[in-house]
Amino acid sequence: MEEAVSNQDALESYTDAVMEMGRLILEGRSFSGRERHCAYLNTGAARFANISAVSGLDFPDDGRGMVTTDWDFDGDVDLWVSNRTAPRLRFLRNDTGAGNRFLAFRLTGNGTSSNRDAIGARLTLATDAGAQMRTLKAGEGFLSQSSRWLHFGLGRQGSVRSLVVRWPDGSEQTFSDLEPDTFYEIEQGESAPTVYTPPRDRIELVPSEVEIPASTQAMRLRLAARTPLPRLPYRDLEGRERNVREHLDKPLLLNLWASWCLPCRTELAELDGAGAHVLALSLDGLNEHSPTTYDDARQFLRTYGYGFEAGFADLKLVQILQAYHQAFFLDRRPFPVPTSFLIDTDGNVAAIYRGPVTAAALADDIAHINDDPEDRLARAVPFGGRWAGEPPNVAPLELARAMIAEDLLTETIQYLEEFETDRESPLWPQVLMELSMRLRRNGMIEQAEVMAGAARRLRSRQSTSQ
Amino acid sequence: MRGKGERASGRTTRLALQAGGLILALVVVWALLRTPAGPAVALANTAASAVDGGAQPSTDLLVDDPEVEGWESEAISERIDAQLAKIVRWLEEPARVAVGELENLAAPGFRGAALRPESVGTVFDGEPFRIERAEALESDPGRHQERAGFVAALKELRQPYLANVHAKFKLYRIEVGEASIVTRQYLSIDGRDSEGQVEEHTTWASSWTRTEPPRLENLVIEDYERARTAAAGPLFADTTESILGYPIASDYLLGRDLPYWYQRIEMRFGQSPLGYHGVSLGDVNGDGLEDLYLANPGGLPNRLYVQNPDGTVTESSAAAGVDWMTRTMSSLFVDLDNDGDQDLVVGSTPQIVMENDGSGRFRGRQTLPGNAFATSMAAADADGDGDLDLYICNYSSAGPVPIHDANNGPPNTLWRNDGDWRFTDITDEVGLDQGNSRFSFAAAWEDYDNDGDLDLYVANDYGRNNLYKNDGGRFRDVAGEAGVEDISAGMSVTFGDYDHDGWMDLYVSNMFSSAGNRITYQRQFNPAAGAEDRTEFQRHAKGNSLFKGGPDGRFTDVSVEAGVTMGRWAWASLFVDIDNNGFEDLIIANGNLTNENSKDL
Repeated sequence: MEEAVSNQDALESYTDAVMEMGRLILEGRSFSGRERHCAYLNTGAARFANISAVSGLDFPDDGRGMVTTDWDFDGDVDLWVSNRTAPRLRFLRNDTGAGNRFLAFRLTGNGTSSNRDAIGARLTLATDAGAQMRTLKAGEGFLSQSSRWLHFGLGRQGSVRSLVVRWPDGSEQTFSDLEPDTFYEIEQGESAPTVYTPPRDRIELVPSEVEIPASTQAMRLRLAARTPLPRLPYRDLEGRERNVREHLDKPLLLNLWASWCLPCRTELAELDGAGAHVLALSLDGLNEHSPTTYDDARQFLRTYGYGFEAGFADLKLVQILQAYHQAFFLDRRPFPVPTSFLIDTDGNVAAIYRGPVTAAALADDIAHINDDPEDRLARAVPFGGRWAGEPPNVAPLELARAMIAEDLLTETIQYLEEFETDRESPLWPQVLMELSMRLRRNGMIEQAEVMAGAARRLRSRQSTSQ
Repeated sequence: MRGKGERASGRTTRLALQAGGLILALVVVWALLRTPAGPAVALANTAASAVDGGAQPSTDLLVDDPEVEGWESEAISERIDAQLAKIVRWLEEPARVAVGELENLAAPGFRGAALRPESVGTVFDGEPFRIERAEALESDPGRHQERAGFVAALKELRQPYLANVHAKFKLYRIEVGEASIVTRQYLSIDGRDSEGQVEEHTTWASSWTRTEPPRLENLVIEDYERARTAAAGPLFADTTESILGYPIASDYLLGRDLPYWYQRIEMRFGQSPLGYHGVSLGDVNGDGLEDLYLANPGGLPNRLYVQNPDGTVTESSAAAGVDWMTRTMSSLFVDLDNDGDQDLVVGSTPQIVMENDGSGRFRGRQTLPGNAFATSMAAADADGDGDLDLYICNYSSAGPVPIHDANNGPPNTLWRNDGDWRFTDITDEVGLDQGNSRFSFAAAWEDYDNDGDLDLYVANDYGRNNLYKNDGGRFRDVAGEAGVEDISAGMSVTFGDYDHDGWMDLYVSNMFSSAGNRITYQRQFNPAAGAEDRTEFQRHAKGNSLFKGGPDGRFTDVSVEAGVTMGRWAWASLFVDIDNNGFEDLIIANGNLTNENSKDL
């Protein structure tokens, strides 16, 4: 059946597909991963030759930037590569022998009619084997800037006739009597280049096999922002409906555990021994796939006799917590067991622990739970550095989007009504639009229309006010 | 999505497939066709996912399964890929695959030629590389017969290798017929033989039975090339740890991949799964030795490695005042005030312009307001007044519209350096506003027409690139006339005169897609598309492009003849003479997203 297709339809499909792939990638799937770098040798004929492996360039990293430099001043061009994978940087030393000769030039413009870096200068090197050209650049390739030394290979013969430099201001200079295998510095206006002597006593560059060990899956995620949790109903051990908010007289560790989880037992014992304020919600009997039941959980608690509050998590509670996590982090992997949330007395999450948390770590994070925003920011990142302002906290709206994607529509509307969110943010109409689409899919057409109308009005108001 | 349960119309497919990413396009088609399922509830699938060692939940979804959608050829490609994977396993470690399993890959009536040509000619013998190619490939197509013959052919192929064998197939063409399936696949093998390190590249032209699984009926090779190095080791060796002075694994930043960080650092600080972070070299402290600046995602500081006199480096970003926590994609060391030292442009959004005090300490002097986010930057004296101006490429995560030739991208900007750390946006004024609504990844300034002024080439994702010809300070986009629009997913730009004819040539990195290659050659792929459309799609999937420059301002696409297209998912690429023989070679950084689950999407 032929459909009338608009750009909008195609865009929606494309966007949906991209979001689908994005989700899969954030769940840990690869996409054109483990691809090796390539090198093609110019043999002087029309066709290049593939020397990716024998050149040794074929690392399987996710390479991004690549720059050239003769770091060890031995006349051949070495490489620095930046990667998305670890190691984030690789230096590749070039081991071309002395059989093929070279010349290298570093230029300085006059700083008046030509920029001092001489960017844009055109070099033409005349040799017995023909002419070679280079243009000096600041920025080439992708996200890369190479060394300002311009390098020429001369082959075996190494015969050089002359070098013509066309400076950025258009003036030209010609230089002869150039010795192969030399580093020359050329200053605009000087009649001859000067020989550059590389520093001596250089460290020996020794090849090594870089090994990156696998990272631990356990994480202690301290949040700089303070964003309230939605309502989290749960059932206590007697089956009564309760709410996490009942326990916020002190900072609370909301802990998800299961009776079959060995690390959970160790963690709960330690936390109990330290007298931590914990609400331990069991994942036993979570759904029909669960290998254990509510009774297994109750039995477990009776056996170990912990002093803290306990109950049962349901699917909705877990989904809300996952949505909350997704509001902050690009991570769609399921929670490990145990996972815990440190909640302050206002109902904001101060830290998320994937995997067990020790009593000491918990006490440390509780001690800092009311830090100033700057101190929280410093604790939320692994390294110091300079900020150009703290980026705004968009988590409440991202949380709404994550809950909408899980069809938690009532909870989303409740959350948006209860908590102040940035209505000026461009994310706000997007949230309304996504909510509208979901309401429509669930057959709530009238509500969907209302939302969509509000979203459109907001969008046009936002764009005109720019 | 409801109501689109029917097989997608040809037009939808065509529009979707004209998008910059053919792999993405495949997902579009699958997504259009699959029944909308509820979102997977992760914990429901979690068996025993206790931390550090628990089972990973399954993430196989309908979107991943071409079977369901009736893209027959893609389903069959997967089967054939699985068969080829057995050959790879055997080539790499023969003990791992039983002879019986190998035999089963062939049909009883198998007929095949030798998998390596009988005679090769040396086409290049330099230092240290020797290149050989097959003179003629008419070998007997029935030299090896039946299943035992197939195994014999494979054994002949493997025989010279002694150790470290690595093999890879790329199935790039498939035709599904009534009785059989015809495929073409590149095969690369490398390893050590009695002479040293060697690599072979060939194309297998094959037909398979339409059985489950498919079995080889016929096999001949086309296009054979072999490269050797006379040196004891590879040309390039990783000596990073000598320069750092310690093992990288102990460096908390350099020793972790980007997914490690985006799982741990709030995304609002500027985290992204894509990982566009580059590197720039420049001498910050005036000692004549170049230093290195590494761009990092938001929430991590950029790094400045200052080179010590002995060639090691010392990380000095904090002392230098350049340890920015904002998401940075690239950087440039440029002397913006012509005072003899390297100033720094930090490629964050907005861009931060910093003045060097001469000793390697930097002070912020200006911010350049950005558009969406900056990718590559390139400096040149565009207005000829003796100081360096800045061209900033911009990209955004908005969906490209119209999908077949996106024109809703954020504009790139040319900032004229007015001295005293003031910059003026002169993009429109000089004509660089033409074709300036693309998704730009890279740019380079080059005098391609040898008329004494610098022109500008811009590589864009989702469609055509720009070649801005400079005429007296005004620019005109001549990419179409010059033959360098290269409608593809452009990621990188490099210039070099590879053939020594006095005219600069151009190499553009794109994304090579095996799946895309297969799809666009399918007969069933949009029968309504004209020959021109098909050429366009094939271009998209073809890979990197080499354009040979000439005297009339026009370039010739010599990518295929030059044999330089298959760069995989390519990012930075450069012309550089790596063996000093006087001819600039090409090096390409590849690899898109390697994550913990290695099963590729």
